[in-house]
Amino acid sequence: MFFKKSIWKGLTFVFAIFLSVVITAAIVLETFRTTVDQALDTRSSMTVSDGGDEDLYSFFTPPDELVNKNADGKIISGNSNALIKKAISLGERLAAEGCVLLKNQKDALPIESGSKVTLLGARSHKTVLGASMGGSVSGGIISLETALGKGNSTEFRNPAYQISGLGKPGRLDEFEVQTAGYDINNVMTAVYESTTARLSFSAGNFGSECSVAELEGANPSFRNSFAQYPDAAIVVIGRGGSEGSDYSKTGLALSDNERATIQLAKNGGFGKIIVLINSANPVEIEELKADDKIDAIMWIGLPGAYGTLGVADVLTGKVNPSGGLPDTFAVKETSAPAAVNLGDYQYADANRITRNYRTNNPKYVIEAESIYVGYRYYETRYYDGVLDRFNANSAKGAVASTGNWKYSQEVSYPFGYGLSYTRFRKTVVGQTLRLGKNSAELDLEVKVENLDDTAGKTSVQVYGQAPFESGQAEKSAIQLLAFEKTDVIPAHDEVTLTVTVDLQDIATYYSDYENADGSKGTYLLDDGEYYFAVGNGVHDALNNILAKQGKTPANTDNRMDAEGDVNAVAVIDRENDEIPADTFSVSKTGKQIQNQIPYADWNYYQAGKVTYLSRTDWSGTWPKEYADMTIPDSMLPDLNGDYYTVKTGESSPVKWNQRGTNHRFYEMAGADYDDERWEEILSQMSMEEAMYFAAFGGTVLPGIDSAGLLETYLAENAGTGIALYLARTYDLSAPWAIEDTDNNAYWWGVVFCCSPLIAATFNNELIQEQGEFVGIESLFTGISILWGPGLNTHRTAFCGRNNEYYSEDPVLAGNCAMAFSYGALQYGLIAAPKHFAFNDQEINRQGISPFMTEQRAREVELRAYQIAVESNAYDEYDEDGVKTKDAAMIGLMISFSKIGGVECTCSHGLLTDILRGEWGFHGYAVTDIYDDNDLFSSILYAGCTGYDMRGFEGFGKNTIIGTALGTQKDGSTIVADSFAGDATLQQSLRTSNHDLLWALAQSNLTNRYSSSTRSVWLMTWWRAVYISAITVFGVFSLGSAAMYVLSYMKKKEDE
Amino acid sequence: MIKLDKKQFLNVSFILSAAAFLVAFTGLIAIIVSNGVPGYGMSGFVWFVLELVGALLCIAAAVTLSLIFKDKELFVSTLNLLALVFTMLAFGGIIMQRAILASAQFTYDSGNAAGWSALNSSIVTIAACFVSSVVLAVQAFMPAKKSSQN
Repeated sequence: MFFKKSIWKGLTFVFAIFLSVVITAAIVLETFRTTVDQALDTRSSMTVSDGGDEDLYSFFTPPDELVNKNADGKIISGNSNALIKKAISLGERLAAEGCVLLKNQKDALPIESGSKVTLLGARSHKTVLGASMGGSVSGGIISLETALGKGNSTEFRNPAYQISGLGKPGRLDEFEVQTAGYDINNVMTAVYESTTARLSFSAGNFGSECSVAELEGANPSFRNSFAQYPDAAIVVIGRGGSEGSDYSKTGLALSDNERATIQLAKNGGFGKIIVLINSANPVEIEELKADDKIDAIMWIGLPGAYGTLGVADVLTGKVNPSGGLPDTFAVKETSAPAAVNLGDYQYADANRITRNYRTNNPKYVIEAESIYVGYRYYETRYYDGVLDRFNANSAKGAVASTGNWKYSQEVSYPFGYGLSYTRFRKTVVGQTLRLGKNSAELDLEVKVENLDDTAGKTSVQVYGQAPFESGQAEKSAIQLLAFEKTDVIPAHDEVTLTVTVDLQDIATYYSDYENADGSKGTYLLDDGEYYFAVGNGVHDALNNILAKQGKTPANTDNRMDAEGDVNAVAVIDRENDEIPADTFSVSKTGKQIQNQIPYADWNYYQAGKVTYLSRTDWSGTWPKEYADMTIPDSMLPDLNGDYYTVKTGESSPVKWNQRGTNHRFYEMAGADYDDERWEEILSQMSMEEAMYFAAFGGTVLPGIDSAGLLETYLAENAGTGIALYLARTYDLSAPWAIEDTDNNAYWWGVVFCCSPLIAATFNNELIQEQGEFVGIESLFTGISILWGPGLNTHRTAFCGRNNEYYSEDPVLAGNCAMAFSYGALQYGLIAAPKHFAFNDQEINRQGISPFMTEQRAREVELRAYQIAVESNAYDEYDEDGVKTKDAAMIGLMISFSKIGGVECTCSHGLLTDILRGEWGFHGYAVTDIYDDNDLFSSILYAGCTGYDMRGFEGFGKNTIIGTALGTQKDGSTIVADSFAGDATLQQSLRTSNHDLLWALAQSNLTNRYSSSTRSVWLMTWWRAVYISAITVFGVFSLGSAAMYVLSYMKKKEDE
Repeated sequence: MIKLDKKQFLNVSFILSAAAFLVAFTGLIAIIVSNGVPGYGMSGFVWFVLELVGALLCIAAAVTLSLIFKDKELFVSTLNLLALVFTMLAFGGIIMQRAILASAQFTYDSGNAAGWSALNSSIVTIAACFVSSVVLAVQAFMPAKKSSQN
């Protein structure tokens, strides 16, 4: 023998250990193979079909200009260069229309091309183009210096102009672009190059300005350069944003370094001083507004990878600014009543909570501001102040005002406000009221006149005011109801637009109204006059309404701060116009509206404990901070997740394992939700398949053998585009798939600007175009579901994730999401806006309990989702008025947070009664990642259709359901037949599966399905490694063991 | 009658076996602790306990047999190998069951103290399984000692 037997024995053990480790690694790798694929940039499977099927890749295709075709007109490849060119153009236009000109004294802007310009501020060099997490951008970018300079080409391959590099090969085409053509102060460019190395173009670090000492350290005589570039100083003030953190309450004020930078500009002898606000969140800039030496201020948001070109277009006057603010810019953002209760609050008796799934389970926030979020507070208090009632002019709540509360001292720039290089006059010239069963719409004809010599676009924002008197439910004195954007109006020309207002949005939710059926709560239209006004933002519109009501600064002791225009207002009277008060007590689906989430309100559990802000007494009801709250006994079961108990022994009418029709998924492309074949397909499934399909819905959906649905990677994150590069496509078989050898193979789709900048365009057509483009990206990357855009409300300015959400106003946000989702679905991409709902702050968001009135929930947060889900603007009708197409948003991601004491994922009232019942939602409604996986039965019962267990795939391993979901709240483990004795949950499973399959049948996933479609495994390097290792160690183990036995026996013989 | 010499207990092989036993036992305690963290029970917990108890019994039986009987080396080695298989089964199974928890703790749920508690005690078990196996492997290289038997 070669060795002693103990050596062979030892080697047997050693190789057995190696073999065990490798087998474990192999199992882990295969179980999480999609996650591994992403992390290691590999591809371990692909979908293939046999040729000859006419339907393959026929349902959704990229536009002709983005593909290459052969002589027969058949697509043979994608055109990545054309795709990127289109992205650059769209990114430029989005930013150009979104930029909001806030101040422009003495027509400081535009600055003509060829001017000698000095850029100041760290963010002039490292402009925040995207957030650090969530709304981030990747790949080659166009810096502000490039966009404002004299070049005519991108510099994507320059590592200085990249975020996260260009991928492995480092390739990317360069593109011709039209820049501002300014002569940029290169001394300051060099100074900032050396002082901003710590900064990124995709930033989460909130404050980042360089000190003057740092600048002097880089070049002590930098000030001498100012004289060579004297035409203008452009100072950039920047703030980033990130998932997972919020701003401190001082984080939006100008820092000392920023003030010092402004002072540099003021002392620099420049012809003009322009300040660009590079932030998704409002920055406190009252001091700049009031400073006569600051000639112009423009808000540019986070403009995205190419949006700096749009900023340049506006600065040079190539594009006339037409954006309106998506948020109020308060003098001090802490003046919002919502800011009183914001941050980290834990129950004083948190130890009573036994459910321990999330650390944030014992956290809460009392949203005592009631409906008065954003401008709803500032403008309503202003209105009551003008009327000198309800203690609006008291000192309570005054933060920036000297003495009593004054609007002019609390608000710098109102919601919707934005200047232009021309002047527009907007006049209401006609109104038509259209009444139907449970519907009422008002068409307003608005004439828009361009009064000056510069052509330009403008938004027509229609605001409304419902009548209010003491004793009624809370009402905002004004709210956005609808908007349209004009095309470019030539100088001294005019157009007339028709803007349609759905009066549902001005109805008031009365949670204490007693319905005929004994339930409580519904929408009502109170008696009185309803005012509809246009204006340059909400404040201007409100002054127009005040004027219509006979108010002037003179007759209100100057409490009214400007004259209004009565010609910009329309009025209807509910009784005279014969609009039933209960018009909106029944939803468009025919469902009686009633309270569905009473547990949103703390007072539901403990009557009278929380006082919500009421406009009838601004000082007496001003929010107090609700810290260290004690859990009411009645709330404890909700906080503990005691929502649903799985039943046993019930027989269910839901059928499983039926055979006969054998319909397959590929047959269902574009099928109606009510198509009877769905029931046949669904009843073919086993309960195990149904469980698995409902349980695992992350980036990968599991396959269903009985329905012919394959495991598919199909969901991806981000709303600024799709967070994949082109060659990473999960649909390799698509004829337009970009090969790895393509020069643009590593171009990333996340390139667009932040959501507030998109909202600021007030242009649904442009936003739809963005949705369409992202839909096209989805075809190139093989993605069918996008977890985005963000659709939460900017409850305060301090949320670190406001860059992902559109606005403080639900009508603006809802329209944006609707337009995006509609556009995306034109190319088969299911947009799934997040987070439904009430993700109002990042602090403690995983499990926090936000408490609010149901009126607030419905009229603010939920209104945005309702508009997007219903998508009424895209419904189509025939000549007889019969609806021929019911447009709808068919995706959602459910929030981590609770609503009141109940998890959003488990709220039957939210997910079934409101979302499905009232709004008619069908489709993909997935939990956030791994959320509440101890409450699976409650989640299914509530109405979630998918469960985000990201990273899992595979099928038929029922034990993995229990493994991934973990121990349930009731101590059970979920297995394939856990719900075999519960008829309700089996129906929930059926509904979940139906919705999900139907949604997928509307998506571009159908492109790749035919009767022969199947999944094939691909060899990856990690598969090769573990297969080799298992083989080697297996052989070595067995060999060593054999040698040990042989040597043992030989020794025995020798003895 | 079997008499055991004190020296038999002090040989390297015995010490290594004892060490493997103690480490595996530590792993058993740790996985019980991990499973007991509210909300972090494991569906495979019973199997892991059985595997670790099986490993402990195998090690104990192997030591006992090696002390009492001579010429049982092949049987003792098989028991030790079985112990190794049991510990490595627990090793792989626990990794599988805690992979999601680990991904959560190291990313979006890093502030979850209960999760860390469950994960950390699982890691103790995983490490214990591996170390115990390595010790058994080292022990396997030791020449077999004949027991004193009168």
